[in-house]
Amino acid sequence: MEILLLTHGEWGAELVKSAELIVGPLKNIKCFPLHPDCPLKEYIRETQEYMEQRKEEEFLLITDIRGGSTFYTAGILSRTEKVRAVSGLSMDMLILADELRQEYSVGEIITPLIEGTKSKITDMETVLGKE
Amino acid sequence: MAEISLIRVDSRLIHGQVITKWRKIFNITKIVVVDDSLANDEFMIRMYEAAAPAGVKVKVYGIEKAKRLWDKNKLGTEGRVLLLFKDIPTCYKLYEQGVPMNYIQIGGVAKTADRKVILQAVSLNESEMELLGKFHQNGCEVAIQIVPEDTRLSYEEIVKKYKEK
Repeated sequence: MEILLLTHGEWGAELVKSAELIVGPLKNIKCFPLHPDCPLKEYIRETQEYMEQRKEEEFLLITDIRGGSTFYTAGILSRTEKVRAVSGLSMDMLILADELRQEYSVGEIITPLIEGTKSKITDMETVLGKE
Repeated sequence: MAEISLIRVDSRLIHGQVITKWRKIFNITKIVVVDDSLANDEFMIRMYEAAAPAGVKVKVYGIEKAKRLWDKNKLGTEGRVLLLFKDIPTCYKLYEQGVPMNYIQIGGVAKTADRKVILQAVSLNESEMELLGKFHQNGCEVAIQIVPEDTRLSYEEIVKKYKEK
Protein backbone atom coordinates (compact mmCIF):
# COMPACT_ATOMS: atom_id res chain seq x y z
CA MET A 1 0.00 0.00 0.00
CA GLU A 2 1.32 3.38 -0.98
CA ILE A 3 0.48 6.47 1.05
CA LEU A 4 -0.21 9.70 -0.84
CA LEU A 5 -0.20 12.98 1.06
CA LEU A 6 -2.38 15.67 -0.49
CA THR A 7 -1.53 18.98 1.16
CA HIS A 8 -1.83 22.73 0.73
CA GLY A 9 1.75 23.74 -0.06
CA GLU A 10 4.86 21.76 0.81
CA TRP A 11 4.19 20.70 4.35
CA GLY A 12 3.53 17.07 3.41
CA ALA A 13 7.16 16.63 2.32
CA GLU A 14 8.38 18.46 5.43
CA LEU A 15 6.17 16.28 7.61
CA VAL A 16 7.67 13.12 6.08
CA LYS A 17 11.19 14.42 6.79
CA SER A 18 10.26 15.25 10.38
CA ALA A 19 8.55 11.91 10.94
CA GLU A 20 11.66 10.17 9.60
CA LEU A 21 13.63 11.80 12.43
CA ILE A 22 11.46 9.75 14.75
CA VAL A 23 10.78 6.44 12.98
CA GLY A 24 13.57 6.29 10.42
CA PRO A 25 13.19 6.13 6.64
CA LEU A 26 9.62 5.98 5.36
CA LYS A 27 9.08 4.23 2.07
CA ASN A 28 6.22 4.25 -0.43
CA ILE A 29 5.01 7.69 0.49
CA LYS A 30 4.44 10.27 -2.21
CA CYS A 31 3.56 13.91 -1.65
CA PHE A 32 1.29 15.97 -3.85
CA PRO A 33 1.60 19.63 -2.88
CA LEU A 34 -1.15 21.93 -4.13
CA HIS A 35 0.05 25.44 -4.92
CA PRO A 36 -2.14 28.55 -5.24
CA ASP A 37 -1.36 29.09 -8.93
CA CYS A 38 -2.04 25.48 -9.96
CA PRO A 39 -5.43 24.88 -11.61
CA LEU A 40 -7.27 22.27 -9.57
CA LYS A 41 -7.97 20.19 -12.68
CA GLU A 42 -4.26 19.86 -13.30
CA TYR A 43 -3.63 18.83 -9.70
CA ILE A 44 -6.33 16.17 -9.89
CA ARG A 45 -5.00 14.93 -13.24
CA GLU A 46 -1.42 14.72 -12.00
CA THR A 47 -2.46 12.72 -8.94
CA GLN A 48 -4.75 10.50 -10.98
CA GLU A 49 -2.07 9.78 -13.58
CA TYR A 50 0.36 8.74 -10.87
CA MET A 51 -2.20 6.27 -9.52
CA GLU A 52 -3.16 4.94 -12.93
CA GLN A 53 0.46 4.12 -13.69
CA ARG A 54 0.39 1.84 -10.64
CA LYS A 55 -2.85 0.01 -11.20
CA GLU A 56 -1.94 -2.99 -9.04
CA GLU A 57 -1.09 -0.86 -6.01
CA GLU A 58 -3.43 -0.03 -3.13
CA PHE A 59 -3.50 3.63 -2.17
CA LEU A 60 -4.24 5.41 1.07
CA LEU A 61 -4.82 9.12 0.43
CA ILE A 62 -4.37 11.44 3.40
CA THR A 63 -5.44 15.07 3.02
CA ASP A 64 -5.10 18.08 5.26
CA ILE A 65 -8.26 20.11 5.88
CA ARG A 66 -11.81 18.90 5.54
CA GLY A 67 -13.64 20.86 2.87
CA GLY A 68 -10.45 22.02 1.14
CA SER A 69 -9.38 21.41 -2.46
CA THR A 70 -7.08 18.54 -1.48
CA PHE A 71 -10.01 16.94 0.33
CA TYR A 72 -12.27 17.05 -2.73
CA THR A 73 -9.44 15.73 -4.88
CA ALA A 74 -9.11 12.74 -2.56
CA GLY A 75 -12.88 12.26 -2.73
CA ILE A 76 -12.83 12.19 -6.51
CA LEU A 77 -9.91 9.74 -6.61
CA SER A 78 -11.13 7.31 -3.96
CA ARG A 79 -14.06 5.82 -5.80
CA THR A 80 -12.43 2.46 -6.50
CA GLU A 81 -11.84 -0.58 -4.28
CA LYS A 82 -8.10 -0.13 -4.10
CA VAL A 83 -8.23 3.43 -2.84
CA ARG A 84 -9.38 4.94 0.45
CA ALA A 85 -9.01 8.47 1.71
CA VAL A 86 -9.04 10.27 5.05
CA SER A 87 -8.56 13.88 6.09
CA GLY A 88 -6.85 15.22 9.19
CA LEU A 89 -3.17 14.65 8.39
CA SER A 90 -0.85 14.95 11.37
CA MET A 91 2.42 13.36 12.41
CA ASP A 92 0.55 10.94 14.66
CA MET A 93 -1.67 9.95 11.76
CA LEU A 94 1.19 9.50 9.32
CA ILE A 95 3.27 7.34 11.67
CA LEU A 96 0.23 5.27 12.60
CA ALA A 97 -0.75 4.81 8.95
CA ASP A 98 2.75 3.55 8.18
CA GLU A 99 2.48 1.01 11.04
CA LEU A 100 -1.04 -0.11 10.21
CA ARG A 101 -0.40 -0.71 6.52
CA GLN A 102 2.00 -3.54 7.43
CA GLU A 103 -0.99 -5.35 8.88
CA TYR A 104 -4.18 -4.12 7.20
CA SER A 105 -5.45 -3.89 3.65
CA VAL A 106 -6.67 -0.56 2.40
CA GLY A 107 -10.26 -1.67 2.89
CA GLU A 108 -9.69 -2.24 6.61
CA ILE A 109 -7.24 0.46 7.56
CA ILE A 110 -9.53 3.47 7.88
CA THR A 111 -11.28 2.69 11.17
CA PRO A 112 -8.16 1.79 13.18
CA LEU A 113 -6.37 4.75 11.62
CA ILE A 114 -9.01 7.31 12.56
CA GLU A 115 -9.67 5.87 16.01
CA GLY A 116 -5.97 5.49 16.70
CA THR A 117 -5.17 9.04 15.62
CA LYS A 118 -8.02 10.46 17.68
CA SER A 119 -6.81 8.60 20.76
CA LYS A 120 -3.44 10.31 20.50
CA ILE A 121 -4.85 13.82 20.75
CA THR A 122 -4.16 14.74 24.33
CA ASP A 123 -5.18 17.42 26.78
CA MET A 124 -2.03 17.87 28.88
CA GLU A 125 -4.12 18.27 31.99
CA THR A 126 -5.17 14.64 31.74
CA VAL A 127 -1.50 13.66 31.77
CA LEU A 128 -0.25 16.08 34.39
CA GLY A 129 -3.38 16.50 36.49
CA LYS A 130 -4.70 19.90 37.52
CA GLU A 131 -2.45 22.13 39.61
CA MET B 1 -36.11 35.92 1.75
CA ALA B 2 -32.47 35.03 1.85
CA GLU B 3 -29.83 37.73 1.92
CA ILE B 4 -26.83 37.68 -0.42
CA SER B 5 -23.89 38.48 1.86
CA LEU B 6 -21.02 37.86 -0.51
CA ILE B 7 -20.52 37.20 -4.21
CA ARG B 8 -17.22 35.51 -5.03
CA VAL B 9 -15.53 34.14 -8.13
CA ASP B 10 -13.18 31.32 -7.24
CA SER B 11 -12.09 28.57 -9.61
CA ARG B 12 -11.69 26.25 -6.63
CA LEU B 13 -15.26 26.96 -5.53
CA ILE B 14 -15.78 25.66 -1.99
CA HIS B 15 -12.33 25.23 -0.45
CA GLY B 16 -10.18 26.11 2.55
CA GLN B 17 -10.18 29.91 2.24
CA VAL B 18 -13.92 29.99 1.75
CA ILE B 19 -14.76 27.59 4.56
CA THR B 20 -12.30 28.75 7.22
CA LYS B 21 -12.27 32.49 6.54
CA TRP B 22 -15.05 34.08 4.48
CA ARG B 23 -17.80 31.89 5.86
CA LYS B 24 -17.06 33.06 9.39
CA ILE B 25 -16.59 36.75 8.56
CA PHE B 26 -19.94 36.96 6.80
CA ASN B 27 -21.63 34.45 9.08
CA ILE B 28 -22.70 32.50 5.99
CA THR B 29 -25.45 29.90 6.47
CA LYS B 30 -25.88 28.89 2.85
CA ILE B 31 -23.45 28.51 -0.03
CA VAL B 32 -25.03 28.67 -3.47
CA VAL B 33 -22.72 27.52 -6.25
CA VAL B 34 -23.86 28.53 -9.73
CA ASP B 35 -22.33 26.39 -12.44
CA ASP B 36 -24.01 24.58 -15.32
CA SER B 37 -21.64 21.63 -15.52
CA LEU B 38 -21.35 21.10 -11.76
CA ALA B 39 -25.15 21.17 -11.46
CA ASN B 40 -25.18 17.87 -13.39
CA ASP B 41 -22.44 16.23 -11.35
CA GLU B 42 -24.31 14.37 -8.62
CA PHE B 43 -21.18 12.94 -7.08
CA MET B 44 -19.49 16.33 -6.58
CA ILE B 45 -22.71 17.84 -5.25
CA ARG B 46 -23.06 15.03 -2.72
CA MET B 47 -19.47 15.55 -1.62
CA TYR B 48 -19.86 19.32 -1.24
CA GLU B 49 -23.05 18.86 0.74
CA ALA B 50 -21.56 16.23 3.02
CA ALA B 51 -18.35 18.15 3.70
CA ALA B 52 -20.05 21.45 4.52
CA PRO B 53 -19.43 22.70 8.06
CA ALA B 54 -22.27 22.38 10.57
CA GLY B 55 -24.84 25.11 10.05
CA VAL B 56 -24.03 25.64 6.39
CA LYS B 57 -26.23 24.36 3.57
CA VAL B 58 -24.74 23.87 0.13
CA LYS B 59 -26.80 24.19 -3.05
CA VAL B 60 -25.58 23.84 -6.62
CA TYR B 61 -27.68 25.30 -9.43
CA GLY B 62 -27.29 25.91 -13.14
CA ILE B 63 -27.62 29.53 -14.29
CA GLU B 64 -31.24 29.17 -15.33
CA LYS B 65 -32.36 27.65 -12.05
CA ALA B 66 -30.38 30.20 -10.05
CA LYS B 67 -32.17 33.02 -11.88
CA ARG B 68 -35.56 31.38 -11.31
CA LEU B 69 -34.91 30.93 -7.58
CA TRP B 70 -33.59 34.48 -7.31
CA ASP B 71 -36.83 35.80 -8.80
CA LYS B 72 -38.84 33.58 -6.46
CA ASN B 73 -37.37 34.61 -3.12
CA LYS B 74 -33.74 35.67 -3.58
CA LEU B 75 -32.40 32.12 -3.35
CA GLY B 76 -34.21 30.87 -0.28
CA THR B 77 -36.64 31.61 2.48
CA GLU B 78 -33.91 32.63 4.88
CA GLY B 79 -30.21 32.66 5.54
CA ARG B 80 -27.06 34.56 4.69
CA VAL B 81 -25.90 33.43 1.27
CA LEU B 82 -22.49 33.17 -0.30
CA LEU B 83 -23.02 33.20 -4.06
CA LEU B 84 -20.10 31.37 -5.62
CA PHE B 85 -18.97 31.12 -9.25
CA LYS B 86 -16.16 29.12 -10.83
CA ASP B 87 -15.46 31.82 -13.40
CA ILE B 88 -16.19 35.41 -14.38
CA PRO B 89 -18.26 34.62 -17.52
CA THR B 90 -20.78 32.57 -15.49
CA CYS B 91 -21.05 35.35 -12.94
CA TYR B 92 -21.63 37.87 -15.72
CA LYS B 93 -24.31 35.69 -17.35
CA LEU B 94 -26.36 35.66 -14.18
CA TYR B 95 -25.85 39.41 -13.77
CA GLU B 96 -26.95 39.97 -17.37
CA GLN B 97 -30.13 38.05 -16.69
CA GLY B 98 -31.09 40.55 -14.07
CA VAL B 99 -29.72 39.33 -10.77
CA PRO B 100 -28.50 42.56 -9.17
CA MET B 101 -24.91 42.66 -7.90
CA ASN B 102 -23.16 45.53 -6.13
CA TYR B 103 -19.84 43.97 -5.34
CA ILE B 104 -17.98 40.98 -6.71
CA GLN B 105 -14.98 39.53 -4.98
CA ILE B 106 -12.47 37.84 -7.25
CA GLY B 107 -10.89 35.23 -5.01
CA GLY B 108 -9.14 32.89 -7.41
CA VAL B 109 -8.81 32.36 -11.14
CA ALA B 110 -6.41 29.61 -12.15
CA LYS B 111 -3.50 30.36 -14.43
CA THR B 112 -3.81 29.21 -18.06
CA ALA B 113 -1.84 29.94 -21.24
CA ASP B 114 -4.09 32.81 -22.33
CA ARG B 115 -4.21 34.52 -18.93
CA LYS B 116 -1.85 37.08 -17.41
CA VAL B 117 -0.89 36.63 -13.78
CA ILE B 118 -2.28 39.50 -11.69
CA LEU B 119 -1.58 37.92 -8.31
CA GLN B 120 -0.37 34.42 -7.50
CA ALA B 121 -3.92 33.07 -7.23
CA VAL B 122 -5.57 35.27 -9.84
CA SER B 123 -4.84 35.34 -13.56
CA LEU B 124 -7.06 37.05 -16.13
CA ASN B 125 -7.47 37.06 -19.91
CA GLU B 126 -8.66 39.73 -22.32
CA SER B 127 -12.32 38.72 -22.36
CA GLU B 128 -12.44 38.49 -18.56
CA MET B 129 -10.94 41.99 -18.34
CA GLU B 130 -13.71 43.18 -20.65
CA LEU B 131 -16.38 41.65 -18.44
CA LEU B 132 -14.86 43.23 -15.34
CA GLY B 133 -14.98 46.54 -17.24
CA LYS B 134 -18.69 46.05 -17.93
CA PHE B 135 -19.42 45.33 -14.28
CA HIS B 136 -17.47 48.43 -13.33
CA GLN B 137 -19.25 50.67 -15.86
CA ASN B 138 -22.61 49.47 -14.60
CA GLY B 139 -21.74 50.47 -11.05
CA CYS B 140 -20.94 47.00 -9.75
CA GLU B 141 -17.68 47.14 -7.87
CA VAL B 142 -15.15 44.38 -8.59
CA ALA B 143 -11.98 43.74 -6.62
CA ILE B 144 -9.49 40.98 -6.00
CA GLN B 145 -9.29 39.78 -2.43
CA ILE B 146 -8.10 36.27 -1.76
CA VAL B 147 -8.25 36.15 2.04
CA PRO B 148 -9.70 38.76 4.42
CA GLU B 149 -6.24 39.86 5.56
CA ASP B 150 -5.35 41.05 2.04
CA THR B 151 -6.12 44.59 0.98
CA ARG B 152 -8.58 44.69 -1.88
CA LEU B 153 -7.05 45.21 -5.30
CA SER B 154 -9.51 47.62 -6.94
CA TYR B 155 -10.70 47.57 -10.53
CA GLU B 156 -8.31 50.41 -11.46
CA GLU B 157 -5.39 48.57 -9.88
CA ILE B 158 -6.32 45.34 -11.70
CA VAL B 159 -6.38 47.22 -15.04
CA LYS B 160 -3.02 48.82 -14.27
CA LYS B 161 -1.43 45.47 -13.37
CA TYR B 162 -2.91 43.82 -16.44
CA LYS B 163 -1.47 46.49 -18.74
CA GLU B 164 1.95 46.25 -17.13
CA LYS B 165 2.23 42.51 -17.87
